[in-house]
Amino acid sequence: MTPEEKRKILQERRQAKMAGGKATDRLNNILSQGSSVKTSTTSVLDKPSTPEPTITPPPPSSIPAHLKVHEDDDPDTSDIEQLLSHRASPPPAEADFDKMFSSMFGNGGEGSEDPFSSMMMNMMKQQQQTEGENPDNLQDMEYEQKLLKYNTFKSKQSKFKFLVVRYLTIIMNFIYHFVYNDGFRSSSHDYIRSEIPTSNQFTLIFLSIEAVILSSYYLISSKRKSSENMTSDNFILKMISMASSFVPMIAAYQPLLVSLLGYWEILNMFLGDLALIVVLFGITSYLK
Amino acid sequence: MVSLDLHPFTLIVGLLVILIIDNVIKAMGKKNLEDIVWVIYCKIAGSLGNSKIKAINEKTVEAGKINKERKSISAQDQYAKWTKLNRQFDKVNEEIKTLTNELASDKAMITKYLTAVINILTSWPLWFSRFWYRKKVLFFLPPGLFPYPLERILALPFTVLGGVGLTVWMFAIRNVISSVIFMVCFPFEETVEKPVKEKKEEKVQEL
Repeated sequence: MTPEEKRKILQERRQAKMAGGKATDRLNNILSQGSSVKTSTTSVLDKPSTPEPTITPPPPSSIPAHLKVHEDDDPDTSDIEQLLSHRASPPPAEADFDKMFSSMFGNGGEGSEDPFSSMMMNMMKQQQQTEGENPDNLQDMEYEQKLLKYNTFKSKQSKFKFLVVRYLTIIMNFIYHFVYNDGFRSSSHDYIRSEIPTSNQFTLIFLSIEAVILSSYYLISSKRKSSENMTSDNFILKMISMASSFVPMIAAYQPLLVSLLGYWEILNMFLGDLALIVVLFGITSYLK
Repeated sequence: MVSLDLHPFTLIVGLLVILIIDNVIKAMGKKNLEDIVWVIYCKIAGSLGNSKIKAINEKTVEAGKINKERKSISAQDQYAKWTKLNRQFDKVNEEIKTLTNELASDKAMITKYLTAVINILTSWPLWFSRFWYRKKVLFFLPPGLFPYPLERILALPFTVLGGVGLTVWMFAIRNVISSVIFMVCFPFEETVEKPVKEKKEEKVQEL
């Protein structure tokens, strides 16, 4: 005999015993085993079946008409299927929500379609679709944030390197001309403007170095941005990308704006270098 | 009588110093500066005999002593003594808290004075200079150094050709200072490693 069969037979025997009305005795025997405590617990198996809890009927005004019962407990409808069909209205489908939103945003129907509300609806639908399609959305967003942080750091690192090179070359160029060229002086007095013009070798070197450094910076930064599919961290670009979801035509001007912003950055760098030259001339202006 | 017709080089150096102070304050953060000034004030005022600060200093020392003693004994072996010290520590801490709250008005006053000092040292002189010396030429560049368009830009907005005015000088200083701050601060920034995207195929295999 297998243990399973044994267990089954024992269980059947126990059930037969309990059915004989000895459940309470057995329970008390188990509880007071080995002690002097006498319990008088009644087993649930011996308990007489309790009457079903009666539900007090709600006031007639709160009962729907189709569920109202007569005083003689004879309902109007005897068929349970019929009752169920009346009782619960079907759960609202997604289309109903769409209808609700349409009415909220003032969209009376297909004929009277408000462009703003339809745009909002499209945006919401797109959002739902993207969320539904992409279960790892949260993880992707986290990755995007990390990538943006990394790209910003790389961009700053590149700027730092180029800045150090630019400042070093400008200072060296300035010191060289300041030491070896007597005419290479600024002054608080306007008479120096009437002196014979100095050779503009300094400016030639400065502009040549600027052209090389700034163009290489532009090439490197634009290459990096395109290769890494860099997310734009510029406020104007963010605004444009947001606005393009409302007015798609704006998206066509985005590449142009990216180029313009790139040139603006280069122009700023050039002005920054010019500012360094101005500061150097200003500080040394007292010497003449 | 103090003459307002300053030598151009005095203006050059003065504005340079003011803008350095302004940028340093911005880089430090006004809140941090307020905290530093407050700590210095507490030290000086305490030694000069400010009763509240003196009391706080004494209570802080007392709290430190109690805490040291409390930590030196075992809470299990000498429970009664430990509990007594614990109560004493809580009481002293409460007293310190009350005194600190009483000093809040002093701190507000210090913050007010500090803001006024910052304004007097930086904002007001800059605004005054912008208005009073707007047409003054701070220095002249050597002739033939830059091409005409560049000289024209550097003479903006009211200066004669070849000269550098206050507006351009202030722009140049601000630009150079911010670049120098960036060059000094960036090497101390935390390096960001390139993130690695978890491949979906690997995830599927894991599942």
